[in-house]
Amino acid sequence: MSGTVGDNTARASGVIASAGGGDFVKIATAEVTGSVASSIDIQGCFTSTYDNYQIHFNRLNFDGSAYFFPVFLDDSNAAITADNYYTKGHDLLGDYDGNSDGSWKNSSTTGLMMTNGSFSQKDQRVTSGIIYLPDPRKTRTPGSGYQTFWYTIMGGQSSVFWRYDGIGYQSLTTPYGGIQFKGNSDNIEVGFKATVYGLKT
Amino acid sequence: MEKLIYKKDGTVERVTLTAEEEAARNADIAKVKAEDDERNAAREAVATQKATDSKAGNDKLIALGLTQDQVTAMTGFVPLSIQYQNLIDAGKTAEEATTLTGYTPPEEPPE
Repeated sequence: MSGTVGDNTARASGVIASAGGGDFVKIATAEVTGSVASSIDIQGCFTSTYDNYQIHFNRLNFDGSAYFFPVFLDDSNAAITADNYYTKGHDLLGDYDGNSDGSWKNSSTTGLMMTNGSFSQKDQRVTSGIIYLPDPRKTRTPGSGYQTFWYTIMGGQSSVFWRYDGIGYQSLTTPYGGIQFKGNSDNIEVGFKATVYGLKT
Repeated sequence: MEKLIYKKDGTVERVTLTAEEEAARNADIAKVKAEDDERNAAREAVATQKATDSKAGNDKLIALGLTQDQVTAMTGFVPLSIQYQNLIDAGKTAEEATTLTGYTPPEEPPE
């Protein structure tokens, strides 16, 4: 659950020095192996050691028509569903020679909508993305500040290749302790991998 | 049905959902489906109204004497029949063009 991340330049291992001071550190990695999983929890990955976090995930595919719908966990590892996850975003999508774009919004207590309902169900165009959490433990955010996050994600379903960029928040001050990856239904197929990185600004 | 749990101490568990957890999951799925259905219905209603208004406005401008090219240049509205023909001209089959536009050309009367 702890350690430093090998960067993508020349070093085999070590930390990535940030421009502002702290180090960008790999905190946890989760991967679905063997057989499908209905959900994947990464517990306790957010601590006061870091303020900014990035969650990189890739090779996401569901075994049915489902969209990515994660939730955050509290310090008791329970899903935080006491308040709506408000999200909004811009989209770019279409079939192989089509395109459309627009914007949308959503709110749900059950999960964090990232794709406006677009499914992650395309072996050739698996879903990948990054979720950015500016301060899930509220180490620098005022006590009354809400939980906020933003993200970018791309993927595909039958006849559609899509990308979404969005923002979101919850109107609560409960510190996030971890995250649960899941869909609105169905199971996550083997190959999905997510890594949590922390950064002290 | 199984879930994966990566714990803070570094251990990993693959756990079969209890009956209660499965029931809760199924309830969540049903709740989200209801939310999705409501959102999709609202979105479809907005899109249908927009399409209706766009066509009505287009037809009124045509009735005033503007050409379709002039109206399209001003409003961006392209009638389905022209979208269909553009796809045919681009090499799509009649079936593909109908699928993409929802437009089926009227049958020509027998000679």
